[in-house]
Amino acid sequence: MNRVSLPDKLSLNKFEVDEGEPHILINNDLCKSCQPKSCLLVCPAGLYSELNGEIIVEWAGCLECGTCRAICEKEAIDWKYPRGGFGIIFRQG
Amino acid sequence: MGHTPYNAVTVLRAKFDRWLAEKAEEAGAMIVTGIKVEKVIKEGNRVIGISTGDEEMLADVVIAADGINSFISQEAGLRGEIKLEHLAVGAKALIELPRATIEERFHLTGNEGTAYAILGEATHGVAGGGFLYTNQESLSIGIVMRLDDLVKERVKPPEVLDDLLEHPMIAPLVKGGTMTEYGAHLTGEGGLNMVPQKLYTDGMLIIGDAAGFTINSGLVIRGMDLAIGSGMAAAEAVIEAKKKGDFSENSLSAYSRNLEESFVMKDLKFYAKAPGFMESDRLYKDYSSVVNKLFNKVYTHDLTPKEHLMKVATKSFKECGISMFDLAKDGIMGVRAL
Repeated sequence: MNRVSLPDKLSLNKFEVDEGEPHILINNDLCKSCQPKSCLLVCPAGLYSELNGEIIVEWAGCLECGTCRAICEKEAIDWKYPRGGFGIIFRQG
Repeated sequence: MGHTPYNAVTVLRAKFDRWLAEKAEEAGAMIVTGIKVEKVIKEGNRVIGISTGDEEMLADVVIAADGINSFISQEAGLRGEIKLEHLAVGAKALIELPRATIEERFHLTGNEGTAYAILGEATHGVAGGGFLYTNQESLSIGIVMRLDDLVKERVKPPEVLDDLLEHPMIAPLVKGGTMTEYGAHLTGEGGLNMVPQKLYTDGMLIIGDAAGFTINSGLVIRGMDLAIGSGMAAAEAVIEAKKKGDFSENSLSAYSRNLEESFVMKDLKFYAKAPGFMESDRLYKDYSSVVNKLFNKVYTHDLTPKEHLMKVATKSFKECGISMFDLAKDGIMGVRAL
């Protein structure tokens, strides 16, 4: 089986994106003093990245596990489930 | 094992959940989907319903079954945050293959299925493990890694999964397959240690993952059976409460008694020492390489004289930095915990 890149893996999934209503918000003031920046590593969908010293998240591809929130030692990640009817729709599970 | 009583079954949750929901509807339940519960509504200390933000729904009793992240049981003050060492993240790929191919590769007939638990290299040595199980026309394969160790080892879950798919033991099993879904899930591994002190309050109960009902016995991670078992215990308590017309904390304490009598609490107590045993790094980082080294020596025929198996084993442990004391300690703890 050929390796499936992460963007390709996510494109297999069905997402109902709640345009303009991000369910993950980051308080970058708190991120500045964060050393491990573990959010960049642990997200199974690899949604977190760093741009010009700020943490950004591509929330539309969220698999809704909540790992980023659990791991953030600065409590800088405001993570909620998307609004009803939106988000990942697992067809198989 | 391919006949009743079955030892275990594999399910695809999207299908299973829909089937279970239909059963509930047949029994008279009304299911409302597509709305998110934002919070519980309280009257004094009593929970009297839920709010979706726009709308409110009042109820005699609210049963929180909203999973490991359960925001509503935290809000109701029943549960705090779960410690990192009690949490693990799983990443899973669904790989479709023709049924005949699956039967051939896994030596299955009829409705038989198979499941593998994988330890060691599968997680790059991070505490946790890999899993693979067959469905009728697909394989579910993934890795589960404990959050505290994942952060320490600095590895990325999707890359670990990719490496597992290319492992010489796994690659031939998934060959020619098509990945059709990629999912992730946060799971509890603390067992009894992460179950909150109180599982009910006036007008509310918590069940399943929300109540921390998961067991990692080292061989399997259990959650679905405990969720169903605790749901049944809660339902019985609510039926009793309804008869009395009393949904107070005192009346709902029947839930706790029902749990104690069921397999849910019995098994949580039985495996209470398992998380302590599984904290040992040696389980994930060292033992698999010992076994590999040992069997490599046993099965190497290179015209050099053989040594006694005991001596070869002792050497392999030494090479991996494991003392006989550590081995004895892990052995005793393992036997006691499991």
